[in-house]
Amino acid sequence: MKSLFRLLVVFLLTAQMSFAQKTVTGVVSDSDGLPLPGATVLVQGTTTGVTTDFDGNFSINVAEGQTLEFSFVGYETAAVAVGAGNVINVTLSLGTQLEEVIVTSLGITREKRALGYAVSEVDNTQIENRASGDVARVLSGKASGVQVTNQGGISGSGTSVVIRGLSTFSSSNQPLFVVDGVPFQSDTNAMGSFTSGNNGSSRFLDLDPNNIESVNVLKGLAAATLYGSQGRNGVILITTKSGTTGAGTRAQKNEVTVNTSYFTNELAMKPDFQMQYGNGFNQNFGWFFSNWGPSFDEEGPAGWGRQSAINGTVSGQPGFLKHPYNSNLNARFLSRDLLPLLGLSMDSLWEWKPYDSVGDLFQPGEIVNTNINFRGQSDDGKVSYNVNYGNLDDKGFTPGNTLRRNALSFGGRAVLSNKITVNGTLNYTATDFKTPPIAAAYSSGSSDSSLYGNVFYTPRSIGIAQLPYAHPITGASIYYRSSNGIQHPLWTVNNTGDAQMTHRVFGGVSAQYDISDNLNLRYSYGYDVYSEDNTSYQNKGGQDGNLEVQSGLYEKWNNTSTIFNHQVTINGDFELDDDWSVTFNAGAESVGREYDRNGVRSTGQNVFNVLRHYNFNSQEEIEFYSRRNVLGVFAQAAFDYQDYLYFTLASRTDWVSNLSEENRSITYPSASISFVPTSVLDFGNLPIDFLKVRASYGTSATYPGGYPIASTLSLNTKDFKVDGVEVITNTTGSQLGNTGLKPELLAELEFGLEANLFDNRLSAEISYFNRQTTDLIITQPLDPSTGYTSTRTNIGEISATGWEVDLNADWIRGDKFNWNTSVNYTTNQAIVEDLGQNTDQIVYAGFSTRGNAAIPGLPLTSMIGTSVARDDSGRPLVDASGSYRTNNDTNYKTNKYALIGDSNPDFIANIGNTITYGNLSLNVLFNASIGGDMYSSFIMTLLGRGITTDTLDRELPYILPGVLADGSPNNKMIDNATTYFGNLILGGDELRTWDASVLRLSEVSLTYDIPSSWLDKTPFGAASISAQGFNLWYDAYNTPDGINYDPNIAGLGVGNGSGFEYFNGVSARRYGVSLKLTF
Amino acid sequence: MKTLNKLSILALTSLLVLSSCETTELDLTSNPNALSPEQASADLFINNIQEDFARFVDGMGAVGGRLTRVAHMGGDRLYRDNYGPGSFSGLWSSAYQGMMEDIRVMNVIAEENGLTYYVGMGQVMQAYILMTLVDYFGDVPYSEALKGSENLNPAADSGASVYNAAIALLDAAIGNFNAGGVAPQYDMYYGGNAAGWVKAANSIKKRAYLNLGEYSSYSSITNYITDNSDDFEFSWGTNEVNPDTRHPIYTYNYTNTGAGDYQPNWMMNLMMQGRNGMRDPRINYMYYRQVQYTPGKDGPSDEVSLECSAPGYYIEPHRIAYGLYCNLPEGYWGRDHGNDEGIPPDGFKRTLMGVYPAGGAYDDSSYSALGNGDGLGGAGITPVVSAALMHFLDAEVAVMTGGDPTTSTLAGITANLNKVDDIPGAPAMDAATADAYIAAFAADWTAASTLDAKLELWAEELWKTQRGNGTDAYNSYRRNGYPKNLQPTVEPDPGPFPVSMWYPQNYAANNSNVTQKSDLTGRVFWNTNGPAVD
Repeated sequence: MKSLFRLLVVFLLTAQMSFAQKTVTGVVSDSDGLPLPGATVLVQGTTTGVTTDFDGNFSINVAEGQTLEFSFVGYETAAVAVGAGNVINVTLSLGTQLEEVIVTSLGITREKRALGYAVSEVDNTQIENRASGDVARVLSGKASGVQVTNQGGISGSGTSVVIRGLSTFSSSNQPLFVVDGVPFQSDTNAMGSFTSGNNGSSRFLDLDPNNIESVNVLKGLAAATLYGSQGRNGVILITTKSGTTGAGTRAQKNEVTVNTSYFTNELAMKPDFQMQYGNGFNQNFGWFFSNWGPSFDEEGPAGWGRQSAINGTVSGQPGFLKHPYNSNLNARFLSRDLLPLLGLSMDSLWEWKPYDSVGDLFQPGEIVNTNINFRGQSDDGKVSYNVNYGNLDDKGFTPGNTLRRNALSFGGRAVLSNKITVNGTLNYTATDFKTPPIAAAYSSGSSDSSLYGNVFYTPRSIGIAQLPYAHPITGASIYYRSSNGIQHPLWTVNNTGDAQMTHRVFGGVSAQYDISDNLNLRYSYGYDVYSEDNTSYQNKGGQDGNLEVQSGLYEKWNNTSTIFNHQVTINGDFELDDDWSVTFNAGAESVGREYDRNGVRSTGQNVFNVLRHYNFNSQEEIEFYSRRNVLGVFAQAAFDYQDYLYFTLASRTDWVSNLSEENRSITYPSASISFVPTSVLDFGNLPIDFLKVRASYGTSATYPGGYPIASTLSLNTKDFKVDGVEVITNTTGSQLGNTGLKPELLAELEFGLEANLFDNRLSAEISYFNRQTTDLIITQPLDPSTGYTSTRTNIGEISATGWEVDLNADWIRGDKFNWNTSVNYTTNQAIVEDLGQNTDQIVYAGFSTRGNAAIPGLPLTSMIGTSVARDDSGRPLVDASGSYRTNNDTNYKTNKYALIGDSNPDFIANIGNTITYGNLSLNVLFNASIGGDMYSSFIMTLLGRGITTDTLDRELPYILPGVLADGSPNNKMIDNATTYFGNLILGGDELRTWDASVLRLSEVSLTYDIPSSWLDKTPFGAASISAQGFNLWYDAYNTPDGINYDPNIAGLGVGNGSGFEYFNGVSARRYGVSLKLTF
Repeated sequence: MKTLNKLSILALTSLLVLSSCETTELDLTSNPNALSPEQASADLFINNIQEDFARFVDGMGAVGGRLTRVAHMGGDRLYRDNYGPGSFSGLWSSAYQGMMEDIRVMNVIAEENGLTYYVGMGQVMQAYILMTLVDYFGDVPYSEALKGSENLNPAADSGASVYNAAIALLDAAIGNFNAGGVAPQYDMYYGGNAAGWVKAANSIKKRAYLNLGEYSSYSSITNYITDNSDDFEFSWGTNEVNPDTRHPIYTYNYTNTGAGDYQPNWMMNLMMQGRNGMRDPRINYMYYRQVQYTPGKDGPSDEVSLECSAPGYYIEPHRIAYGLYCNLPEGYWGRDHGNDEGIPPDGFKRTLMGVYPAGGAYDDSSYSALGNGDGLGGAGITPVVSAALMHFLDAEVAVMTGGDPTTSTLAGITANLNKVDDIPGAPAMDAATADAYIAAFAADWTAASTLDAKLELWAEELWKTQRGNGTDAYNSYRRNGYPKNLQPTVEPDPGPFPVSMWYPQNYAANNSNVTQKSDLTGRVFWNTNGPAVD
C-alpha cells in the first residue's frame, strides 16, 4: 500500500518538474532485458523524479554528481551516480522475499513480513501450460496445507480441495474461491448421488489456468477474518491476468502472448492382467463374472483339455467354445434366428484365449490447449486493459469423455481526473463436459450404469470388442453371461451419457475515490452467474439400474446459480509518529446466493435412441431452490512499529437469513502479531539473513445451508395409481425443524516461524495450528417413534492440529547453472472430542453401514464397516467352512459398526526440483502421501474375480491365518475362489481396506527459452518451448502389485467423505509439448 | 475501534441503500421446496397411509414368511444374522414417522371436519401396525411416542398395554364407522363400504384375543370376515415406473435379469405331495416353472446353475436324513431353508412366484423364461386379514376350547381355493378339481388318528394361505408349534429360532431408553409360555 502511495506521489510531482541542468536519458529494464514501464527515477535527496514510459525509456534533467535512484515495485532499488555521459541504462534485479508484497483478504496488499499468519503463493509459471484444465488439480502439490483429491481420470470430473483438513462434517469443507476480489462459486453439482452417478464438474473448471496471474492461499482463520463465515475453510485468492491491469504492474505496450500445447491423455496404468486362466470357477469353465476357470494351456490339471466345453467335445474344434450367443444367451434376449443379423450362426465358435478388453476400450485421447493474451495501457498509464481468450479441447481416454472450454476474459482500469479510479473485469466461459456414466459399482454390477464397473473385471477369456453389444432389432444390451445379467460395456458407451454444458459470466466493477492521499473509499460490485445445463440419458434396453433406468431415462435440468456481492470499504494509511504507523480497512458487505434447479425427468422410452421428452411415457419435475443472504460489517487495523513489530486486529459480524432471528448474527474477531528479530537484534556471525516469528488467533463460524429450521410436508402427485388415475398423497416431513439452531463456531491458534539462512540460499517457513470447532451442527438421527427421523442440532466438538513446512534451497546459484529444491510438507489431524451424551457414532458420508463416521476420541476421518470377528486376544476367527467370520453380533449390540480405517494420510510431502542451465530448465515435482486407508471396490473385485497377476498362484489350497471357534489354529483348506471371492467380496469390509500410501512423479517439464538473439528477425519478443509429463509414475506400494492402484480418488464425490472408492476412479497420465510466444 | 464501528455502520447503511432488498432480506427461513405442515389435507394423508400400510404389511409379513418356510430364507446360515437390526429400520420408520405420525396429524384435520370414516380407517390400520410391532419386537413405544421435540427418547410401553390400546382403537374405529361420515375418494381396501371396515376391525380384534388366549372374547365377536368378498386386502397395479404400482414381490421376482428370489423347497414339496396322492391344485397358481427339468434331479447335472446338482456335492447329513434337500424334480427349482450360496446365472431357470398373490404368471406348463411385464404384470394382492385365515383361527379356537376343528379347517381351505381360483386373468380351477382336493384332504384328515396329526395338517394348510403375508404363520407357529415336520436349515447349528426380532437399528441406536437385545430367545408378552420351535 505504501509503495503504491509513494508512486502516486511521484506521479503528482512529475507534472511540476522544471529544473534544467543536463538531460540524461536511458532505459530501465529487468534482468531478462524486458523494459520496465512506470519505473520511478528520482534524483536522490530531492523530490524531482520521472517515470519510465512503455519502452522503459526515461529522460530527466539532473546535475552531474547527483545520484539517480531507480525503483520499481517488486524490484531492488538501484542508485547510479550521474557522470559525464548522457545515457544511463539500468537493470533492476528482483527484490528478495523480504520485501515481498502479498495480496491478503479483500485484495489488501501487505508486506509479507508484516503478516501474522501463513499465506502460500503460487505464481503463473507453476500454473500455465499444464495438461489439466482444472485449476485445483494444477495447484496440487504446490502449496503446503492444501489437499487436492481427484474424482478420477475422467477429463472434467470433480475435484475436492481441502485446506488444513476437515473442521466439520455438517457442511462443506471446500475453500472459498475469490477471483479478482469477487467470491467465485466452486460448487460441484453432481449428476445424481455417488451411488447413482458420480459425474459433475467442479465449477472452478470454468477458470482457465492460463489466464491466472497468481494464486494466494489463505489457510487460517486469522487470514480470512474479513471474509467472515465464507472464509472459514480457507480462501484461494486468484488474480487473473485481466485482474492485474493497472499502474505499477509490468504491462507492456500492446503485448500479445500465445500459449499453445498438445498433450496425449491416457489411462495411467492398466492393471497387470494375468494371461494364464480364463472364465469359470474352481478351474472349471462357465460363463460367469469370475475368472477362476481353466488354464489357457491345454495340458495340466487346470488345462482346457479337461473341459468338454473347450476341448472339442461340444464345439467340434479343440481350443474353441460354442459362441455364447448361440449356446448360452437366453431366448428372452436373443432368439436364434436373429444370429445372422449379428454375423453369427449356430456354428459360430469362440476361441479360448486371453483378450485385451480394457486395452481395446481405453484409447489415448488428446488435449489441445490454446491461450491468447493481449495486454497494454495508454501512453499516460492511466488506462490499461487485458484481453484473454483460452480454448481447451480435451478428449479423455474413456470413450465418450470430452471436455471443451472457451474462456473469454476482459479487464480494464482507468484513473479518472477526479480522484476516481474504476476497475472492471468481465469473464465469459462456456464449458462443455461429456462422459459416460460412472456410478458406484461393486463386485458385480452397479447401482446404475457404470462403464468402469462393468469393464475392468471382464474375464480374461471374454473380448468385449469381439462380442456384438446390441440386439439387432430392439437395440437392447446383449452380453455373454447366461441370463444376460450384466450390461455390455460397449452398450454403455453407445447408449448412455451424462453431459454438463455450462455458460458462465463473472466479474466485477469497482470504483475508488481518493478522499486524500492516505484515505480512500471503495465500492465494488461482484457477480457470478452460471447456468449449467445437465443431460443424463440411457436408452431403453440396459441391464444395470432399476426398472426406471432400464425403461429408458432422459433427464434434462438446468442449475442456475448466482452470487451477488456488494461491498463498501474505507481504507486508510497513516503514520502516527516516527515509530508507529497504521493502516485500516473498514466496510460492509452483502452477499446473496441463489440456486435454482429446474428440469424434467422422463422415463419409459418408446422409439429407441430418440432422446426427446415427447418420446417418453411419463415425466416428473426436477426442482430445487435455495436462497441465502449474508450481511456483514468488518474492520481491520494493522499497526507497525519500527518495521520489526506488527499487530493486526480484525473483526467481522455477519447476519444470515436462514436462521431464527436470535441466532442470526455472530461476531468473529481475530488478532495477529509478527516480529522480525533480524531487524532489531544483532545475530553476529550467525548465517541468519532474516527471521520472523508470528502468532495469530482467529475465529469464524459455519452457517448451516438450506432451510434447517423449517418443518415441512411432502407432497407426491404420483405416489400410486388406482384404476389408471394417479393418486396424490402428502406425508409429514421427516426432519424435525429446530428453531434454536445456531451456527458452528471455529477458533484457531496459529504459530509460525520464517527464516532465510546462508545468504538467503535456504529459506524455511513453518506453521502450526490448533483449531477447535464447537457447537457442531449435527444431523442427529432420531428414533422414528418420536415422529421424526432426524433433527439438526448443536452438539459436540472437534479439535484439529497440523503442521505446514515449506523449505526452499538454492543449492547452486550461478550465472548459467542453477539448482533449486522446494519442499512442502503437510500434516493435520482432526479428532472428534465430543458428540453429546447420547451419541457415540454418526455416519456422515457413504453408506450408513460403511462410511465415514464421527466417533468421540477418534479421527474425524474414521471409516466404519463390518469387521472380521476376533477372539479375546485379537486373532481372527475362522468359521467351519474355512472363511473369516463377520462380526455382526457386536455391531447389533453396540448399534455401531467397526472401525476399519482412517482415510487421513499421516503426511503429504511434495518435492520440487528446478535445474536451469542457460536457457534450459528442468522441473520435477514428486509427491508422497503416506498413510491413510482406502476401501477399494476396484481392488476387491479384481482380486476376488481372479483377474490380475496377483492371483496367478491358485492351483493349491489356502489356509487362512486365524483360529477356529475352539481357539485352535485354523486348519481348514479352501480353494482359490473361496479365498479371494468368498472372503474379499463376501467377507467383512475390513478385508477390502488397504493402506493408501502412494508415491508419485506428478510433473516433469523440460523448457527451453529460445535466446532473444535468435528472435531478432522475427516478430516475437520471447519464445519458449517445453516438453511436459504429468502423473508419469505412481506406486501405492501397500496395495497388491498387479492392480496398479491409484488411491487419489474421491470415490464418494466432492464432499466430506473420503477413503472409499466404488470402482469410479482411475487416473490419467498426460504428456506433450507446449509453446509460448510473446510478441 | 469506536470510530471504526461508526464507520462500518455508516458503510452498512450505504450498502443497504445501494443494494436491492433482495440481497439484504434476512428472513428467508421457510423452505420453498416443500409444503408447510399447515397446508396438509386429510384426503392426501389417507391416500398415503393406505399405500404405506400395504407395503408395511408386505414387508413385515415377508420376515415371518421366510422364517417359517412359507417363502425362502437365504441371507445367512445363522438365524440371528438373517434379519439384523438394520433390516427393520425402514419398516420402523414407516410405522411411526410415516403412518402413525400422518394419522396423528390427519386426525386433527379430520376431527375438525367431522371425517369420522377417515379417523376410523386410521384407527384400524394403526391397531394392526401396533399389534404387528409387538408381535415381532415385544415392547414398543406408544404412550410417549410421536411427541416430537417434547420427548426425543420415548420409553417403550409393555406389549400388553400396547395390545390393549390397539383393541381400544379398534372399538373406537367401529364407533367412527357407525357414525356415518363420508368416505374418502380413495378407499383402497373397501371402496367406501363401512361395513367391510367394521368386519376388518372385528377380525383384527379376534386375532388379538387368540394371541392373548382370551377365547371367550374371541368367540363373542360374530361380525367378522368369513367370506372372501370381505377380505381385508390391498390390490396392486401394473404400472411399472413413476409410480411403480406393482406387487412388491413381483418387482423383485420378475426382472429383466430373471427371478430375483428363490422359492422354498419345503413349501413347493408340500404342494407337490398334496393330499391323499392328489397334487394341490393351487401349485400352478402359486409357482411358475421356467424349465421342465431340474439339473441333477430329472435332468443332467449342471454345476454352473445349480451347484448342489453336481455329483459329489457335500450335503449335510441332517438334510439327507430329513429326505428333502437340494431340489425337487419337474423344474420345481428352489432352495433349501437357509441356503446362502452365491447367485449363479439361473434367473431364467429357477421357479418363479406364480399368479397368486404376487400377480405373476399362471403355470400352464409352457416353461418360458419370464421377466418384467409377464404374467399379470404385478397386479396381485397383499392379504391383511382373509376369510381363510379367520376360518383357520376359528379351528384353532375350537381346539383350544375343546371343540371340533374340522368344519372351520375345511372352510379355510375352501375359501383359499376359491380365492386362488378367482384371480382375474388366470384360468379358472374347475369345481371338480377343487372338490377333489377337499375330499383328498378330508381323507387324510380322517386318517389322522391323533389331534397332533390333525394339527399338523391344519397348520400346513394354514401356511399355504400365508403367501404374501407370513405374519400369521409366524404368530401361529410360536403360539402352537405346528407344523412340526419342517425342513431343517442348511446350517447344522443355525442358532435358536428367533421368537422375536432384534429391535430396529434406528430405534436401538437413537433412543437412549432402549438397550438392544442380547439374542433372539426372548418371547413377546403373549407368547411367554409358547412351545419350543425351530
